[in-house]
Amino acid sequence: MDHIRGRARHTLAQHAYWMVPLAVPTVALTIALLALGEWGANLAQVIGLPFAIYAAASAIFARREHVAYRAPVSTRRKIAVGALTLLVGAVLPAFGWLWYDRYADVDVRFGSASVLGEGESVTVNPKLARSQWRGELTFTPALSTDSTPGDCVLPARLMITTVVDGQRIGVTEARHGVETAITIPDGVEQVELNLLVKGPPDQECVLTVALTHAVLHRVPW
Amino acid sequence: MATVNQVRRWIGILLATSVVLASGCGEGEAEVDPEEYLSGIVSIGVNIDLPGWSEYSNGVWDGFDITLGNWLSREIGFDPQYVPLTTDERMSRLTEASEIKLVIANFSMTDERREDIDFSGPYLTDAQGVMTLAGSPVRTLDDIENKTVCVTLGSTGETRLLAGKRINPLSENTIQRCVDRVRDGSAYAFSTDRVLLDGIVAHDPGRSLRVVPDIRFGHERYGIGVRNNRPGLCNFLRGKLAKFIDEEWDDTFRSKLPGVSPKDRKPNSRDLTPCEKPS
Repeated sequence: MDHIRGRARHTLAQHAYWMVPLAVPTVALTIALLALGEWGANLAQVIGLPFAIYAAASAIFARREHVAYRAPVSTRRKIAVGALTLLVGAVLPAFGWLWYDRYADVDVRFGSASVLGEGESVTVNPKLARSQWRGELTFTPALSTDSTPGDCVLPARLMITTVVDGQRIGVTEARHGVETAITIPDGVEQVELNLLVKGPPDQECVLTVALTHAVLHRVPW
Repeated sequence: MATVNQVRRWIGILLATSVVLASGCGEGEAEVDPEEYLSGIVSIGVNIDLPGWSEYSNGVWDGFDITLGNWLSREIGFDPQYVPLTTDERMSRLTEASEIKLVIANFSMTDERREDIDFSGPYLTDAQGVMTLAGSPVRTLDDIENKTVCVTLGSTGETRLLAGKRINPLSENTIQRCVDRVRDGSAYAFSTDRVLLDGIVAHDPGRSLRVVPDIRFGHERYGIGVRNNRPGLCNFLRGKLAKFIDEEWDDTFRSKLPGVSPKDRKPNSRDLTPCEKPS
């Protein structure tokens, strides 16, 4: 028994030169993904599948290689492999973090829904979860009504006037369930959206208006 | 020792498994192609005994809704089979298992109905009105308060009229029964879409009925009812309806509803209601 345990310890020590440098960025990446919250969870799901396939394939190859005789790895080679592993393992997460900070999508909050009648309007102030305004703001209006037997939700138009730093920059027509995009110029401090409901005539529609799935896409170009 | 072929086989199994798992995460069943869905014999739910809109006489169907159904059948290439429905059955036959694929039956599009079915339209817009005997003194909605007013069960007219008005409702399954109620005096008035009332009065040989001229409330938009979560079919029919409105609507309205004004009843073919996304 003792000689088996000793052999296992010996094998682990032999692989420490690449396992330890890989462990550092792996832990860092895990912490970063946890810090990213929902976005991190999505990212982890996406990269999980190729990693799992790669890991399984590597294990099969490693088993095959393990059976064959291999000459002992030199100290110089161990240092080189370890340094390269650390470099790749550190550079990739660092690059990922930089990309996330500069270019990744940012969640936007619009607050609670507004109740609007035909021709009524309200101004909402979207808030960024982090970072600054720059890029394309997308969201999906979700309209609902309790006024039966009206035909309000699908025919209604939502006229959205975009105001940045007090300047009106355009009007966008939106509808229930259809994603809407508004371009926000660089360097903007404050964004306001004025929502006006234009319903079908003679319906006396009263609509609850919520802007959902709001995201700021910070395109790098 | 594992051979290269064994290793390759394992990698293949892993990749195949991942592809199967990934495909299993996709959205629900795809919608049948609309042209395939509307092929062969297509059962269309319609009203019956509704003058100008949907009548069956001597083995022949006729009316505005029937003309629309026949036009769609020629345009798309199917054999229409008209199935008479009561007002209430227009919804139930599209939500339960039945042969009905389309309902063209003066079917008003509403948010509440859209929770259970889809609509393509509108192909006609209208308001609600009130019909009485020709000699009735009724002039405004206040004049029918505390009176017995016939409404068709499951109609938008029933819902709208009962909201906030002190009337004694008398619900019937069909429009024709409500007309009979007014004729025999068991109902003081009948309330439904004005265009239906106009059609009934226009086809009333004895001129014993009238539509109260100044009573106009609510807003009705007729659409073609289809089963729920059929955005492809809805958009397909929407395109056909736009063509019908541009090319056929005026002649159809004039020929099927003679003496009835088309004013404010023809929708803008370029502004039909968008189709609902699957829920």
